[in-house]
Amino acid sequence: MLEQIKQLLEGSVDAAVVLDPDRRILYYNRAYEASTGLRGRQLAQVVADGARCYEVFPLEICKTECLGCKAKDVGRALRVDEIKAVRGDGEEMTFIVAAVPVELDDDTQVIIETYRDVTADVRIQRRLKVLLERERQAKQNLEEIVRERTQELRHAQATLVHQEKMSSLGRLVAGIAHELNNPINFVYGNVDFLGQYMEDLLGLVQIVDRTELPEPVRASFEEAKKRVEFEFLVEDWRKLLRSIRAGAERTASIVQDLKTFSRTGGGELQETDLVAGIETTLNLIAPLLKNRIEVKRKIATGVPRILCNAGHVNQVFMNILTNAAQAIGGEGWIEVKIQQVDDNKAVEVAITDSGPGIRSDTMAKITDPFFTTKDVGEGTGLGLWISENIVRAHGGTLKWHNHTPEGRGAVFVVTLPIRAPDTAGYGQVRGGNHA
Amino acid sequence: MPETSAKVMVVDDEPMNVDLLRRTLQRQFEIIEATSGQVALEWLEANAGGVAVILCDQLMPGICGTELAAKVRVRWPAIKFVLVTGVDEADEVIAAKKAGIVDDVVGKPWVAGQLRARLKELAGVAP
Repeated sequence: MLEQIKQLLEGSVDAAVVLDPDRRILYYNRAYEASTGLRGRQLAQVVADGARCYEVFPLEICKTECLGCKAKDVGRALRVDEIKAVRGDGEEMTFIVAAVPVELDDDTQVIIETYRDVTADVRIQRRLKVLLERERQAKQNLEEIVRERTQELRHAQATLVHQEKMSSLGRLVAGIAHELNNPINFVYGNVDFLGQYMEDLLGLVQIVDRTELPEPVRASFEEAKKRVEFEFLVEDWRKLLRSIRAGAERTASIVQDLKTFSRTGGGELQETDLVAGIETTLNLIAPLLKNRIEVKRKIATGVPRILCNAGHVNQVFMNILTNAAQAIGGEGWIEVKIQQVDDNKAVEVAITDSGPGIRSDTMAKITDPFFTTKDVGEGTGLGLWISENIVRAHGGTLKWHNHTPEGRGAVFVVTLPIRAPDTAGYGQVRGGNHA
Repeated sequence: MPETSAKVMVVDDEPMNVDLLRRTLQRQFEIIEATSGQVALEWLEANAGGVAVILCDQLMPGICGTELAAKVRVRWPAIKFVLVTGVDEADEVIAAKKAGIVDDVVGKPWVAGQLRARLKELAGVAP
């Protein structure tokens, strides 16, 4: 019977051995010989010397458990997939190992072990797995890229819309300023002449008044003086003229502010007085501050003019100051602190308000485009995003935190270098957040 | 009679501005009024220049201030040219000043005393 088994195994493509209960090799086929990496005679000698299977060709599992022994114990065939073994030439191989206990005619027991080489299959499977994984990754990356690009496009579109809006606003403001200039000029220029003419006329009246007049004429003159309330008129006309002049002057200064605001310098960098720019901005938002918010100025002496795109930089302070004013519900204060920093190579403007502060869950999001905590229609959610981009284009930084440990009172710190890079003129606008 | 015999031409399409300038300057100068660049050029052509200073609004229909200034500078280089403008930072105004086409730029609203003094200076008459 053993002979029949041997015949059966001899031609098998799977490596096969027949072991005695002590795991000595009784027989091995050619495929087994090839697997061991030993030459025919060497192997024959080793086997003749009574070598055990795990000495000739150790499998990975031989160290922990012997499949043949187990099969013998349970009295049936056992099989284990993907068992590793190192071939004689050092190559790592993978096998499906099967062990079958067989009772021979003479009641002796043998174990037949076969080893099917699945190294190539396993490699192909592994490779396939890698390829599939790669494809899945690529697909995921593609989705990611599409998402990013969509986001970028959305940002770019928002920027364009905003720039167009600001530029229309700038044109409108410049147009209004120009149209108002002429009428203000009439009022402002003519008011002094009016004053002069009045003086002259009153002088004439006084001459008449001092002159001796015939009684009927004097009577009707006095009557007329009473009718026009001459004493009051003399007292009041100067006041009248003063308020006309003050009104014209105030209007002229508003027009001047509007002109400053709308002047974006066509992308050119110019020497700019930040302190004056912020003062102008505060004047422009005066209606928001009125009697409600006290502005505290802490301005260091000798703050230099900086080279920047004045229109854009003014817009940054306009945004921050407007936000501050809107954040303060009732009465409160805004502090504007300006000083030189970074070895006098930069100017820092810190704007602190007495409002409720920035909520911790929105801290990281406030410069995201379209992010707003204001009511619908009150804010576009673009102001701080644009501001951050403008500051960044100038080679500066925009940072924010809360004033108190309890998280009250927002602080925005704008730092701008004394000389912005040439690219600052057109304010390269990129995606939101801290990219 | 004005204090000086110097002639100042006032060019503005807005009659109220012309009135105001006349009022402001008539004690010091003889005033020539023109309501457009075209009218100004015609008068100058007919009078062989004949003014010391031109005070001209920038934004006008037809020939604008800087255009008139350029023509005047070529034709009558002795005439001083002052641009009156509400947009003193406009590119063409800055360019004209840089190119020496205009002698000065006065922003609106101007101050009467300063304007008179500047014109006297440009017209070369004692202040």
